Amino acid sequence: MSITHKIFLGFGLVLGLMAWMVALNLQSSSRWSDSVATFAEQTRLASLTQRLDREVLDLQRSALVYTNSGHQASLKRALSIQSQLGDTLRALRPEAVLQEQQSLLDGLESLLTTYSEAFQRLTEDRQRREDLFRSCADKARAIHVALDESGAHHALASFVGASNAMLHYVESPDTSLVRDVRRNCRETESKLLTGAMAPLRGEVTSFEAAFMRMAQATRGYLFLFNVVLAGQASEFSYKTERLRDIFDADSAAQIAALQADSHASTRLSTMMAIAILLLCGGTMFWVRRSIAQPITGITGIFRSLADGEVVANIPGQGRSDEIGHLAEAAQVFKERNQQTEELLSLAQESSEQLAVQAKNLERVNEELEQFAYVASHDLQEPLRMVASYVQLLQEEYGGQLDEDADEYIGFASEGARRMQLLINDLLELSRVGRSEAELEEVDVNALFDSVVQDLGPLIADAGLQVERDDLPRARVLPLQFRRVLQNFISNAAKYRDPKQERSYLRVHAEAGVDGLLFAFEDNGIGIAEEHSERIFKIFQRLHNRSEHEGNGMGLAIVKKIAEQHAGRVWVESEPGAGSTFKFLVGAQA
Amino acid sequence: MSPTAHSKPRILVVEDNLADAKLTAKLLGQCDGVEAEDIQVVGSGTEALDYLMRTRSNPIERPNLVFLDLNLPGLSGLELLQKIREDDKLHGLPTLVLSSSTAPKDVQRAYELRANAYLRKPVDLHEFRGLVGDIEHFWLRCCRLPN
Repeated sequence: MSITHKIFLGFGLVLGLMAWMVALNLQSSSRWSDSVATFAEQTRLASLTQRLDREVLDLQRSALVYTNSGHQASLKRALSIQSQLGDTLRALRPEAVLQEQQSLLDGLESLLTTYSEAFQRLTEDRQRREDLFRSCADKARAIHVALDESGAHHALASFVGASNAMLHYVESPDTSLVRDVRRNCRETESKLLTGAMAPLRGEVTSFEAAFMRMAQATRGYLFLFNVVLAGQASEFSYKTERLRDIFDADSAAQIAALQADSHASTRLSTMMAIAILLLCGGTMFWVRRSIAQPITGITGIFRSLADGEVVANIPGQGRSDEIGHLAEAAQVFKERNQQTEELLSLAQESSEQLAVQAKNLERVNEELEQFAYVASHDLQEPLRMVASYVQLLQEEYGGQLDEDADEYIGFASEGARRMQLLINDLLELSRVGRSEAELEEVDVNALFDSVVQDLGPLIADAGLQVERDDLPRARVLPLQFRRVLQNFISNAAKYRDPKQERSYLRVHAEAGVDGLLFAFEDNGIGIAEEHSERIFKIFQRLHNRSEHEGNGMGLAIVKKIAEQHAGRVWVESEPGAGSTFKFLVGAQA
Repeated sequence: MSPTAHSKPRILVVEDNLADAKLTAKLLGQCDGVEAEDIQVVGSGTEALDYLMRTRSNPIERPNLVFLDLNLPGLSGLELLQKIREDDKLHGLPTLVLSSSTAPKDVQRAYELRANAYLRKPVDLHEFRGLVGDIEHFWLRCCRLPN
C-alpha cells in the first residue's frame, strides 16, 4: 500500500472518531436543550402552583373582609380572585400528566366550585342580614318613638338595652348578645302590660322575631365562612401543596436523570478523547517510522550524493511506495556520481599531463631565451675582432691595395656592421623576455616627449609631425614601454609616404574593460591586410634594404613587450591609406 | 690646447682575447704621454693577480690604471675587481671595467663592486678609437692618477 493510501487511512480513522465524538456531543447538546426546555416548564408549573397558594390566601382575606364589613369592593375582589383561580387551574390542567396530578387538579377544581357555591350562599346570607338589619333597625326606631311618645320610660329603657345589644351584635356577633336582646325584649314586653300598649308589645315581639332572623342569618354566613370556606380553603392549600410536591419530585427526578446523562456523556467524551489522542499519537509514531525517518534517511543520502560521494547503500530501495521511488531516484544520482568520479580522475590525469607539458614548455622557453642571450653576447667578441681588424687593415694597408681590395674590405666592414645591429636587436629581444623589471606607474606624456626628443634628428629628417593627446598614466615596465614608443615613432618616420604633403603621427589612448589601449596613427605608406600579421614575426621585412632601413626585429620586440604587459599589439592599415598601430596594456598586467 | 697628461700612467690591460688586447695596447700607445713600456698586458685574471701582488708594495711599479675585461677565463673580472678592492694597498686602484653587455643588471653589479667606470666594448675600430680618445682625455688629462 502506498504512503498516500496509508495517510488517507490514518486520517480517515482519526476523522471518523472525531466525527463520532462530534455526533455524540451534538446528541448530548440536544438532550441538554430538551432538558432546559423541561426545566423551564417545571419552573412555570412551580410558579403556577405558588400562585394558587397565594391566591387562595388572598381569597380568604377578601372573604374575611367582606364577611366582616360587607363591602362591595371586597366582594368584587373575592369574586375576581375566584375566577383567577379557575384560570390558573385550567392553565395547570395540560401539565398534569400523571394520574395523581390529574386527580389533584380535579380535587382542586371541585373545591373551587364548592367554595364558590358556599361563597355565593354567604353573599346571599350577608345580603339578607343587611336587609334584615335594616328592617330591625327600622322597627327599633319606630318602637323607640312609640315608646317615647307613650311615655313608657321603663319599657323604653329596656328596649334601648335591646336595640343596643342588637347594634353590638351587628358589629361583633356573640351568643350572649342574642340572649341580651331576648331578655331585654321580654323585659320591655313585661313593662307593656296594659291594653293600650298591646300593639307596642306586638311590635316588640315582631322586632325580636326580626332580630332572631337576622341573628340566624348572621350565624349562617359566619358558619359558611369560618367552617365551610375555611375548610375548603385549607383543603385547597393542602392539595396545592401536594401538587407542588409532585411537580418538585418530578423535576428532581428529571434533574437527576440529566446529571446522570451528563456524567455518562462526559465519561464517553473523555474516553473518546483519550482514544483519539492515543490514535493520533500512534499515527504520529507510525508516520515518523514509516515516512519521516525513511525520508530523513534518504535526504541524508541525497546530501551525500550532492557532495559527490558515492554512497554504498540506499535505504528503502526495496519498497514499492513513494519512498521506494525516492530511493530509485537516489540510485540514479549515485550512478551519476560514480560516472562523475571516473570522469574527474580522467580529467585529473589530463591536467597533470598538461601541467607537465606546460612545465616542459616553460623550461624550453627559458632555455631558448638563455641561449639567445648568451649567443648574442658571445657573438659580439668575434664580431668586434672582424670589424676592428678589417678597418685597421683598411687604414694601414688601404693605399697599398687596389680598388677591388678596397671594395672587398668595404663589404667586409659593412657585413660586420650589420651583424652588430642584428646582434643588438637579438640581444634586446632576448632581454625583453628575461627582464626582471617591475611594473611602475609612469607619466606616459613625459616618457613620450623624452623619446621624441631622443629621436629628434630622425623625426626632423623625415619631416614627421608628431602629435599626441593627453595620455593617461599607466602601469608599465618603463624601459620596455620606452622601447615600444621608440619603435612606433621611428617606424612612422622610416615608413612615411613621400607623396604626402604633411606626414604625421597621432597618438591617443583609451581606457577599456580589457585595459589601456594606445593607438599610433600615421599617414605613411600603409600595410596590406595579408601582411598585417607577418610584420610582427622575427626577421620579417616587407621591403628590401635599399628602400627602407631596418632588420625586421623592431615589431617582434614590440610584440614580446606587449605579451609581457598581458596585452597585445596589432595593426589596422591599407596600402596608401596610412596605418594605425594599436598597443594594449592589459588590465591584469 | 688640451692640457698635457699630469700623471705618469702605468696601465694594466687585463684581456684574454689577443686581438682585442693588441688593439687596445696599440691605441693606448698612440696617446700622448703614454709610452709602450707604460702598458702591461696580461691574458687572464690569475696573471693579473700575480702581477698586482708582485708590484703592490712598489709604488713606482704598481699600475695606477687598470682596464679590466669582465669576460675572463678562470678568475673572472668581477672576482678580480673584488680582490683588488679588498687589498689594503690596491683598493684605491682606478679600475675601468669593459664588457660587451649593456644590461643594466651587469652595469649595476660592477659599480656595486666599486668599479670606477663601466665601459661597453666598442664594436669596431672607429668606436674603439673614439673610446680610447675619450679615456685619454678624461683619465689621463682631466683626472690625476694615484702616484
